[in-house]
Amino acid sequence: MATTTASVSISSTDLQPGNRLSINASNRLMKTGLTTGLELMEMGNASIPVGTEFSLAEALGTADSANWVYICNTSTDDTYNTEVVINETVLGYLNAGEWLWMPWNNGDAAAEIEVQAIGGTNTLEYAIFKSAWTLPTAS
Amino acid sequence: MAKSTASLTINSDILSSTTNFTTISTLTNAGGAVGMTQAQGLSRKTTVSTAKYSLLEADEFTANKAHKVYIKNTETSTALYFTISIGDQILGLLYGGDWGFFPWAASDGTLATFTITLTNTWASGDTLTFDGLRATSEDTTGDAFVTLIAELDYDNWTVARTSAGVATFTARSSSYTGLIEEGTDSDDWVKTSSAGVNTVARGVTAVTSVNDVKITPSTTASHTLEYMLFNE
Repeated sequence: MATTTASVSISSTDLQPGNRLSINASNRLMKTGLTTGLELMEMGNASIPVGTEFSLAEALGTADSANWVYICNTSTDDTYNTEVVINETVLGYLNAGEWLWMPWNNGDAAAEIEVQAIGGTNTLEYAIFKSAWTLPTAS
Repeated sequence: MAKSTASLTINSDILSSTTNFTTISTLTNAGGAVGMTQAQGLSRKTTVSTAKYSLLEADEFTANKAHKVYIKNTETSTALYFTISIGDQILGLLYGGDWGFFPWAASDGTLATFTITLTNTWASGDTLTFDGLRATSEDTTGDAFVTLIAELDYDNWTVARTSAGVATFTARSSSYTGLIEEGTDSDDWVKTSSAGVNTVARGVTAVTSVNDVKITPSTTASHTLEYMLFNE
């Protein structure tokens, strides 16, 4: 059984006066049902020019299943941002160098992950861990 | 400038060769030049029903900035999970021990507004009650009464004197979509006055924000999560 762990560390010495912020969390990625580790993944690197909304991940899996998404805007220009959209809802913006890690309900088209570059051609790296996934049939 | 960093480490043996990577980012305001200087939390919330809860309300924050949300299901039982949503859009499921860190646009809704205009004579001691708060006139003019009303702190509305004898009310939340009754006999305002006239007119109609961060527990058992918002 595959073992995948995701760990986060968030720290700041001066965000909260008098309180050194230190958040640490780690979880093991499990399939829906939570007895078996996730065994399916895809990783990639993408370059997205300004002006088009791109589909980063089509929701071809099962609704309400355990899936995880990592996206990092690896651009180095501070003016380059990535808008992240779930279906038609704007989730938020990743500045250059910023990343996200989130659960993903990838059951149908209403859960598609879309990205759009702001400021210039963004470079992204991403990894998607899935409970279930079938390759599309060849045309 | 404040410096906050967030790092993610993934270790996996899904592939035949081990996958390990670490990503570190400095949390900055939109534009990337200034470190993020505001935060809410770290907080905990415990739920005891399967109702959908608003964890973060978009109306309270500036839209389309570089806000980031950290959220963790602190339950040890993996059977207790939260469904995380942005408005009505389901993001995913957070099982016991799972955590997430994602950007948040905090796109605002539209806040309802209305005006109340006080005319004729308002005797000292006349009252107007709205939103659970009673205002008592100390003068005879409508404008003086409006000035007094504008200093009150209503639970669900902010208020300002916008012209002589006129106060404009703005809802604190876009989720308040009720329609205030218009006219001189508005049931939403309770008046005691022999001669004073209050006229209510609706302004902007509310549009509920579709960007609140919401959580839906999987069961009625006690579920606890912790969360923190890094915001501009």
